[in-house]
Amino acid sequence: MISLRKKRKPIAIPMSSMGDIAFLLMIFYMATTLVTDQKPLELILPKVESESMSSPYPLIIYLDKKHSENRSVYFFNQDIPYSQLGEVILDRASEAPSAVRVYLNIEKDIPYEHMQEVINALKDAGIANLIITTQPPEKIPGQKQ
Amino acid sequence: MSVKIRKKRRDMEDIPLSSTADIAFLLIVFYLASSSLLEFRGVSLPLPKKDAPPMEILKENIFRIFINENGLILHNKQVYSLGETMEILKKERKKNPEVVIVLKVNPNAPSQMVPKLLREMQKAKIEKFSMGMEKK
Repeated sequence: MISLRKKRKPIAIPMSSMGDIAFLLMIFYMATTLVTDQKPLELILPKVESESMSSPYPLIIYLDKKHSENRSVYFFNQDIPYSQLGEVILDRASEAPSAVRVYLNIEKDIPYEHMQEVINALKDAGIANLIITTQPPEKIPGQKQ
Repeated sequence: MSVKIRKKRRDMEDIPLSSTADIAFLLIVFYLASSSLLEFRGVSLPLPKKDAPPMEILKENIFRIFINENGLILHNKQVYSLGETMEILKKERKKNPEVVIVLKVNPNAPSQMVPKLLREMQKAKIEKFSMGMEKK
């Protein structure tokens, strides 16, 4: 018996451009992310409903109980005394390619005098704005915001 | 008479490129999985200039509030909750738009009260304020 059906060639989907798309995505992702060498400290921050204030060049000051007892802060993997904080911040800010934002991650129960010392050091260094970081309060189910 | 010997044309060999997409996507997945997202939420505190002259405020425009060592808010030696304080501040501003809130914080007060109060003041659009620490 003779078959009259034509044998169709299998359809090939061109996949070569997929590689280009994927590599473009990767380049975009790498170019838009920031690599920081600062190891963070886990702190219990004040619970306040606040807005997101992200920055491409964050300078994060950590102040926990241990550091406050030594009258120092944790900044870029180092313990910095309050008296040297302004100088160190200015050094870091000068290395950044664009404007920086200074964040203060302070544990919620640290006495206020330590916060004031950090504020004074930043003020003396000419920092115009400080962001006191917070964490969002826990939402109780059924409670209206 | 010369005889032309033609070389046989070889077909172009295809390099299989379909796997490069898989490699690139695997790299993206690795990159996404190994990086962490930094997101900060916080309260912005504008700092005065180092050599800025002291603010001159008329006595009648000053409204003082204190945060004591237990983190309680006081006005005229009376304790108020955060909500009550905000109501008082809003009323005061309505009465006198030139009012400046002078906040004095006890050195031993828990620092968390400061961003809480600042945030509420920002929400209420109270921008004229001064903050300092009580003398020890």
